[in-house]
Amino acid sequence: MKSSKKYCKVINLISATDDKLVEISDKGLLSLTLKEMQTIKKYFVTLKRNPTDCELETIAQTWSEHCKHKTLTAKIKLKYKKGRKFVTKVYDNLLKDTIFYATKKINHKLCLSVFEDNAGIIKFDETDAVAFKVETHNHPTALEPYGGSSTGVGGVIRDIIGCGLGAKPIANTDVFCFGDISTVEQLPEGVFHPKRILKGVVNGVRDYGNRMGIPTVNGSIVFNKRYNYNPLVYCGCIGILPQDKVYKKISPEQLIILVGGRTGRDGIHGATFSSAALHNDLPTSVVQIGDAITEKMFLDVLLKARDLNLYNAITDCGAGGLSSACGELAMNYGCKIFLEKVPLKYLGLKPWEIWLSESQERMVVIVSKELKDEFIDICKKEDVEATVIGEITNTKKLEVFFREEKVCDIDMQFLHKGNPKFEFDIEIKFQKIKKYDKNLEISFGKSLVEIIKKVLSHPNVCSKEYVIQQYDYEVQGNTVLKPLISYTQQYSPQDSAILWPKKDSYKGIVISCGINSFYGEYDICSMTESVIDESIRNIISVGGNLEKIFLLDNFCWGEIQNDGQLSNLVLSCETAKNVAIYFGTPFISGKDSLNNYFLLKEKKVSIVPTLLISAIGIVDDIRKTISSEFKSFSNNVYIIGETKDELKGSVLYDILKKNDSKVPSLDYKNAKKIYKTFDKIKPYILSAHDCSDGGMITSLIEMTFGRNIGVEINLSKVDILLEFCFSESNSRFIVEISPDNKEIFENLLNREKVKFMYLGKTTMKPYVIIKYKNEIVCNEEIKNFYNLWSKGLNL
Amino acid sequence: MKYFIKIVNNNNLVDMFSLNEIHLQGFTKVQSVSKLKIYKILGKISKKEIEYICEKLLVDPIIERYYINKKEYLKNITRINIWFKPLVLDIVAQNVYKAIGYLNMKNYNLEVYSGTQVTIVPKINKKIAEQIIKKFFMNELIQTYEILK
Amino acid sequence: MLNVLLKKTKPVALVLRAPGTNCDFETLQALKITGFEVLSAHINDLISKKVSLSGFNLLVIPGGFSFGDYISAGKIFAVEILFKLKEELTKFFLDKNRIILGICNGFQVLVKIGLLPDETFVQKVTLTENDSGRFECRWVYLKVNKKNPSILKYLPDIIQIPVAHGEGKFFMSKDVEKDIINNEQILFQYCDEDGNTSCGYPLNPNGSLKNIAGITDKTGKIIALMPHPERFMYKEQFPCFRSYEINIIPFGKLFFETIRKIL
Repeated sequence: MKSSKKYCKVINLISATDDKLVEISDKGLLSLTLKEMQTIKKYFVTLKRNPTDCELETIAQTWSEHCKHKTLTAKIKLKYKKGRKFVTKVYDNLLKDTIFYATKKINHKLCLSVFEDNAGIIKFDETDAVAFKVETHNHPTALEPYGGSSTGVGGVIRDIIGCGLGAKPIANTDVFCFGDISTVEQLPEGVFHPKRILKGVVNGVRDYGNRMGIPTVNGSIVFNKRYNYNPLVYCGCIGILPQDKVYKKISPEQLIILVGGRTGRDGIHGATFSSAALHNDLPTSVVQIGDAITEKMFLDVLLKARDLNLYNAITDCGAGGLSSACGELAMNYGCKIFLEKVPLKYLGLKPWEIWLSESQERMVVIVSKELKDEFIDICKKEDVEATVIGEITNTKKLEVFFREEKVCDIDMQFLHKGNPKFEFDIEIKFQKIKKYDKNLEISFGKSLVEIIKKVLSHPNVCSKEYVIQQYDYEVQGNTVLKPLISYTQQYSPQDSAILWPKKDSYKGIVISCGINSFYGEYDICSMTESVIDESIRNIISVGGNLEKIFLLDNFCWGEIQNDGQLSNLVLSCETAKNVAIYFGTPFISGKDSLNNYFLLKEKKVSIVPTLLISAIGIVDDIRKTISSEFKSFSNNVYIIGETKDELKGSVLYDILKKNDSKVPSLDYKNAKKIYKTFDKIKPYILSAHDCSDGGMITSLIEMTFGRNIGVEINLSKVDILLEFCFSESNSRFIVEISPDNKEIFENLLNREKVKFMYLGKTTMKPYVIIKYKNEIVCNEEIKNFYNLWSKGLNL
Repeated sequence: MKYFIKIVNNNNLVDMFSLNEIHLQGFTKVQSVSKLKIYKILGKISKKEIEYICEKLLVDPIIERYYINKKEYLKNITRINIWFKPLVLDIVAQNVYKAIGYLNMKNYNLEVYSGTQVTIVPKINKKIAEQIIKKFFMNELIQTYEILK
Repeated sequence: MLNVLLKKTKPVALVLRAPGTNCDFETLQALKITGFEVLSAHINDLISKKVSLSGFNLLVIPGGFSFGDYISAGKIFAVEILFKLKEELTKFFLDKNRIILGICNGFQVLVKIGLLPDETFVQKVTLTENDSGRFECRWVYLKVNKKNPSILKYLPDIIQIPVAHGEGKFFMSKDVEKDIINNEQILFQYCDEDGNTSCGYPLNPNGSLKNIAGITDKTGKIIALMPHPERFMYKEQFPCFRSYEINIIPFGKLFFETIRKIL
């Protein structure tokens, strides 16, 4: 390469000092550590030349935290005290040794492609497979709630369109974490009020998902003031594809075609930016706005082309733009790209800007030379732009040209595997658990009914119908368990969503999630156990089977350089591995978003560590699934599972401002027993609802809403009433059983030694009646509870 | 030629949600707030052709009316126009441009921009207007605003 | 009186797509199950004359967000059809043995082309933003007008179908209202489970005048509705299907089967 360049700059690296190396990374927003810069310098020293700005940017994007998960794949030496001794545990690669290890160990026969492609892919039936991916888009959302969240949805949908040879998106899931929407504190410059962020996000995700014609069927909204400066937006997408279209087939001499929208200066430095902190002077180009119609247009065309076998591989243009997309696809071969061929939105882009642009709604497709015309023709007919921009080679190099000048020439091996491994040495100091004060009488000057009302209207418990009904959850006609069900005008929330994608059989897909923002404040291991349990029990509760449940992990953590946060991450990964292996539910995909913190007057304010577990299950017969609303009166109501004194981090304690007791943890053996037994008692269950935020009393009352069927229960057997009602212990269900099946149901549970308790009966009278030791402690009309629950968000 | 088009809904609804939020955040002087769609079209095109575009494309003849280059009387109200910054995707404008092409009109080498006009009752001072606009109606990262005089 | 014509071949339906149409897949499935031969065509195919309307008995404009619903729902699609396919469309509906069906976005398009309520190609009514100010996805009860000229009057008195729209509020002037009522052009009205059409939100999810959910032209051959019948072809799609004592009739299937009867 010539040392004087016309279209790009040459960066003097080979003679740069360490200080200069750091300066180059900072100024260029490369987010590279000194060690990484030194490694790059060494590489170019062996090549006896300096890199161009294109090359440096390409390496920075490919080595970014977002693309490489450097922290999660780092080598970590962990020291902790076991009894009196110090023990050291070494993870060669944290992710590989925990999450991925669990999946390999379980070796589930339905897993087709895990942690390889853009999404996790599992077998659905004899001919088709299901793909699932969940991603976060936190930083852009904080900057521009509407644009950031809509591009988040667009991005994860593109991951599904770009997995295998292209999957058809059939459902979306969305989990949002917002700050305190009733806050009146003066927020720092550049931070939007949580309510504004909520509105922006709900609208952004709605407008994109609805336009794409993909039903949003499942999700969760969590409120916690710890997200005041950093909201979290997890966008998920599920797709379906034929099993013979699961693997990509790339070979040299195939053409690289760019499909979809044009390229502009949007979102440059998105991948490197996503791991930097939020502060005020960020360049405009970082924010992207989405255009769902362009994406819908190429989705229609690409599925057609896929079924005509017109292309051999596809991937989305996401973080890092073309540099990541082409780099990944051509990883084992090499490629030549001609940047002047890329259709632009406007003139004046430098080559590196074209190469790194994160303009939305673009896909990269690999097409054989002889099929190129047919492919481009199909696109043109529906006004979708498709342009040949390069080809796959066998040089094992990434070669990028702009007109006659070569602006980038890097070995694929160095680009993808050359980054120095991150290494961490950390020590964990366990906190002492506070003594539990077992004096939970109704002695707070409030009656049980008043507390129930406060819990039902708490933002983390109340109805989210304001959001759910703004998303079309019926489009495509596959939703056979809707997020909300009613016979009257009252809705009972459902634990999972069930899809019926192919009408020639009754097989279905179940989708659920588990998340909690309070537990992570106190006990990371229990938080991890609880959210995984939540996602699994939500699937079991609707009739799913433990043998066909698959998990996705999404870690959103605060400032990771702070030792405490990193050790929390390690503990969480280790716990996740153990739970997954015990239940036999493998992880099939995952992502992380680290460094969610805000610089408030030079101090780093982090979020609470938040792990989202998304789960997907396969059911054989959607007609045999269970919904949560009570079906009829004079039926028996039971609670299955054990309620313990686990109130720390509960909604009740958030209201009472207490933090003694302990965070709900997992009783592995009993939980597994319950889930396996559920399969046997399923045929007798008329309705079922899992117990989580707000305790068993919330679940019980939610079951009365749908058909306005009352319930009368007697809790006299219970020791401490408030604890029983509001503890958020894991692995529990409330079920409705016909009196005809009382014996067979109870016998089955007794035989399997599963703990359960008879609560009472459903009633025709639309009241919630609770008796406790000769007193009626609650005698409230369902509609009073419903009014508070449904208007909880007050939007 | 420069044309500024305003689309007014005959029902002219108050944006209650924003009004409540504005009050909650302490701006109690604000009596009402409403939004409407605005467009800017530049190019070699006559007023008659612009009227044609408004009638055939931009306006819903049953419930809306349009104004072109209307003179504003701002005695008791504050009006702010919000537009996208250059290079930010203005999807509505792109589609308006495309649709103008369907109207069988010749020579439509036009520039089209879309935006929002916020009307606040009563007239408030510039500083407060800016605060309200930035907090509730626009994002400085991708939009610009002009308080009408 | 049902005028049942015995046909030796299946009737043919065309589902018209634009960029942003997204209910076409399930609409095609619904038509196929009901016994139609189907073709899905992009509007470019019609404009380029690759596909001609003359070969079809039923033209369906399905739901979705054609052209993103930018400017207003269905407007750009309507403009494109009005300026490029007016002749073809006129020829199509002048043949009284043919039916035009608009579902959701299709209703918005037909109204903005000016084919409903009368085929003058001048817009007389509109569908605008829901009163609640947001998108509404819910199941509704519909009262069927037994005096409507279309064959759909033979549907049961009250049916249930899901709606999902942001601009479904039907609005018309008093003069137009008089005509529509005199000609019995109202086909469906939002109601409660007993058939009362005076109910408000949320049984009427958008605030439509006279709770109008669907109308036809004077002859009953141009039909349009906001709810989505293609989403209720199987009883398992009904929210409450797990209550076994309820006898569920997939009303969407009945809807398409009824249309099939006269083609």
